[in-house]
Amino acid sequence: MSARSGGNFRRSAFALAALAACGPLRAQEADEVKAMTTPQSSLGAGIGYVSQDNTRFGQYSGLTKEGLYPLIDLDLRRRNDETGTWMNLRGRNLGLESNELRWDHARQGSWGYYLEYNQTPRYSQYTALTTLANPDSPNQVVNGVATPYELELKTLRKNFSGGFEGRLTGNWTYGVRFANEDKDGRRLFGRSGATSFQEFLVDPVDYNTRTWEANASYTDQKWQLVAAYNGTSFTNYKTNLSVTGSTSVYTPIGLPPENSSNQMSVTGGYNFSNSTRATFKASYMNQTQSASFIDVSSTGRTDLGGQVTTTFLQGGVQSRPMKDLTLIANVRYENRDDKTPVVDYFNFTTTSTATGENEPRSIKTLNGKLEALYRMARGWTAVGGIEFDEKKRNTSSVRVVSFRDTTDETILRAELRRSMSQTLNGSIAYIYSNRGGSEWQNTVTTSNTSGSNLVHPVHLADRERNLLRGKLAWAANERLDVNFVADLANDEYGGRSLGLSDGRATHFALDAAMRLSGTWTATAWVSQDDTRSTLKSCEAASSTGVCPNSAADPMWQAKLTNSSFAFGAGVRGKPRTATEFGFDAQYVEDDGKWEQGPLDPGTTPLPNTKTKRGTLKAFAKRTLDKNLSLRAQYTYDHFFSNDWQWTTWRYGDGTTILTNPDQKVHFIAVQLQYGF
Amino acid sequence: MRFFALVFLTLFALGAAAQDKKAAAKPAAAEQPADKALNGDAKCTRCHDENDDYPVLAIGKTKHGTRADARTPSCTSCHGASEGHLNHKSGSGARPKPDVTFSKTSTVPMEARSNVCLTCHQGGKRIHWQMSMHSSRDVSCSSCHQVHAQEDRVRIKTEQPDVCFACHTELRMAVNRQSHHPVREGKVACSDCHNAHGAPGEKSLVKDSINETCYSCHMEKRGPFVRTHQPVQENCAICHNPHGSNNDNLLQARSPFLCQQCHEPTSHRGGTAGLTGPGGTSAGVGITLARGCLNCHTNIHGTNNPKDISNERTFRR
Repeated sequence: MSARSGGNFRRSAFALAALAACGPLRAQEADEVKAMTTPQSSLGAGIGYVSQDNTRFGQYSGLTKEGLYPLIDLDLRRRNDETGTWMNLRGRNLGLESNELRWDHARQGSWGYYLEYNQTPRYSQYTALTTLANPDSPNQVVNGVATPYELELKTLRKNFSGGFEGRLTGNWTYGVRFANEDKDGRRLFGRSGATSFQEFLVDPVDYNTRTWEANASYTDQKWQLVAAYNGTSFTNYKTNLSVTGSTSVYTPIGLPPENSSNQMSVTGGYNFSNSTRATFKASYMNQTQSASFIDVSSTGRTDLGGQVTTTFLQGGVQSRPMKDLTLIANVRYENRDDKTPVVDYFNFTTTSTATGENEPRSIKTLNGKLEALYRMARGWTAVGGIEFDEKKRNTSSVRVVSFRDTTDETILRAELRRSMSQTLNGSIAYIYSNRGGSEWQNTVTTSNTSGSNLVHPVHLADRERNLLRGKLAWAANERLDVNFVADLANDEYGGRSLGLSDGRATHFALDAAMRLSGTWTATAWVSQDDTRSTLKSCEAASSTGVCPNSAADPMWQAKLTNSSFAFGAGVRGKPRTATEFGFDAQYVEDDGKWEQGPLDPGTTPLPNTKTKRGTLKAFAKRTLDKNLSLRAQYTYDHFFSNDWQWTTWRYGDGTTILTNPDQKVHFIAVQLQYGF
Repeated sequence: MRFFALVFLTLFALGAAAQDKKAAAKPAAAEQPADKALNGDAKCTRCHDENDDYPVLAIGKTKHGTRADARTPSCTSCHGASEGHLNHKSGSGARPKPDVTFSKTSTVPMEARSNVCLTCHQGGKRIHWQMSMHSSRDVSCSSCHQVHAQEDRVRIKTEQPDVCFACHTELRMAVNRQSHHPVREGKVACSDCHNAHGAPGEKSLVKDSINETCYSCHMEKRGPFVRTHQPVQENCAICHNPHGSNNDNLLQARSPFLCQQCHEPTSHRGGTAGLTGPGGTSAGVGITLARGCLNCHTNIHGTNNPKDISNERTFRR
């Protein structure tokens, strides 16, 4: 072997050795890339401990009783890279009442279906101490048990849904969906008692709601269309509540009647060009309510025969006639036509304020909007818009509230935005709206005389609204974002002498998000809200609307105020490669004031209320090996309220309501998580 | 629940087994492909990987990274051909950015960023995007969506509200009030009621009106009834604030003040509220405490009881 050949050998041997060494490296790199581009799955199982019974912390999760709870979560994802077929099975809170489980199976771009089960509990914040018998039954007995007992008030929704979608040919797709929800439980209820003192009852909720949909869609670069059919049905398995054990005449009480609807719709969009697009929707819905009456009607009818049809039309165009100018025009019309036959249902007991006839409610809404957006030099953008909203309603020949068959509102918007730099953006917007309407229609009695007409109902009143909104967004750098928002709103109401006279709202918020390092992030925010309105009324007005305005029956006003202050902060980080850490704190305080005066003699004014909620959450996650990690979590939740609404209340039947005003809950959880 | 869990697990197990079988039947992959996450991404992923300031490869875990679906994009489908960026010679100044970028400091107009997505995603729930308030207020798809992540935060029910609250700060306050939909608890998300991509109806709602949206979950309030309450039929939000309230049942104001905003002060309806004072319903506790006016007017959303023993017209039975 020559020196040269020896040299070649040495180089070949080196190259081979290098290749041999690189082979595993390449394989390792390929594995790493595969891991970074393949959907990951995870399983988590553990246990949590709630330190005390509560109605706030676990209100919607089911963590309401002291004790241990299984904590099971799963997120299984499989994708067949050859076929593009996905299979996902995701579950959350599987050990709790708020569990959710969803299965998806789809060949992307071809077909797919899903099935989902989802429970939502709602524990009332209140517990009744009562002698009511049979609270879950439609036949309840006031004072039916001798000794008061604590009655938990709670509902549970169980929702099962599914759907399938597929591609027909070319740009056509179709889909079907359905959902079935059962809701049952106990809701706080009541009725007028035998001697005007109200009695406690339970609404024995036992509902079924179903929705279903079928649709076909077409999409290309010009047209996008969706034609759909939607159906719904509501069934109440407990149609009335019969109450015994008291001489109150308010029995049976009607519970919500079953009803159903069918709707057809077409929605679409069309691109005339790259700069002009139109959209539209047209739908028609027929809704019926023909539940059997719970009691005999003097008319002989056995059901209402209720029918409401709703026609909805919308059309809009967005266009950019010039490079820097964008125009939007939109019009929307809805006609909710209540076609229920009018029958005198109460004809054997007449009053001066009711004919006895049912009162179908129809309403037509017409809304139009024009908006222009112009981009100017130096990062300025101006937006100007005008919107018109008109509502037309029907009424009955006899009414107890002043009425307007038409209200119309004009809304003007002006906004100026400026991108001051790549990192600083600000906007200021002013919105003015003015609502008026047709002539007021007075209240009318059955003898065709006018009654009291002092109040402008809040949704029909003249209203002038001014709203100023400022925003500032500062991206100091890639690591820090700061946002500031300020809203100032003012309302003035008019039309009659009483009712809401004015309103004012302010809102301020400052948010910051920071990336402290490659592995640490932090957020912080603080907000302040204040909402005030003034309500004017009087006691014991005469039937023709004269206020006595005496010490015994004063003209009064109430300044209704709600002020809120809140802040939050959070940190996420990885102090070590195998350790993650997170911490969140949030505090919310709400103050209520009513400031009513002058008061009826002997009436104690309403005290201010304060509601506070503070929550601390912390977690730490330690990676045990490539796939396995341990997550520990601690939550402290403190709810406090001195609200007086129920604290001194006692029903005529003796029932009282426990408000649980001060709740401190510690929640500790440990979960083993397996990722793959 | 257990039954459904069993059904789901069985489906997954059967499906996974079938897929594994298919995958096993395929011949072993040839040489490792030049592309890593998307079809045609090699010219980008030769430089960009998961260690970048903007990690890119996780897009391979998403539906965009489902390469068997011929519709899925390459890097340049969204970021533009970016010739200047790709062909930049070292030593000739700073490398130009790709044609279309989506970072918060990007100079690409928001409309242009959204148009990239709308090229494929204009149909379905996004038909009305261009008419939406988000679009006209310079919000782009990437303002809310994370494309290069297995989990897009705004599509996770428990995290979506935080994305929305980044701008809608007043609603973050509202959902923390004592009476609220279970948003902070992760059982209801903003998108259950709103279509952030624009909608033909009011307030970007998923249904064409406020009431129709509320009826999706509260169909028992729909009626029509023998006795209807006019504002109930017109707009649920006249009495309720769906985002949260300090008054029970999401009420805009508590009784009797809420009712007195419409009703004449004749008879007992103008009574002053109070913690003590006259019993009954003329003033004081009878109209203020507990459910207030609703202590007697139980069926305030409407009653379908046609028997007139006493005043169904006032929703007492």
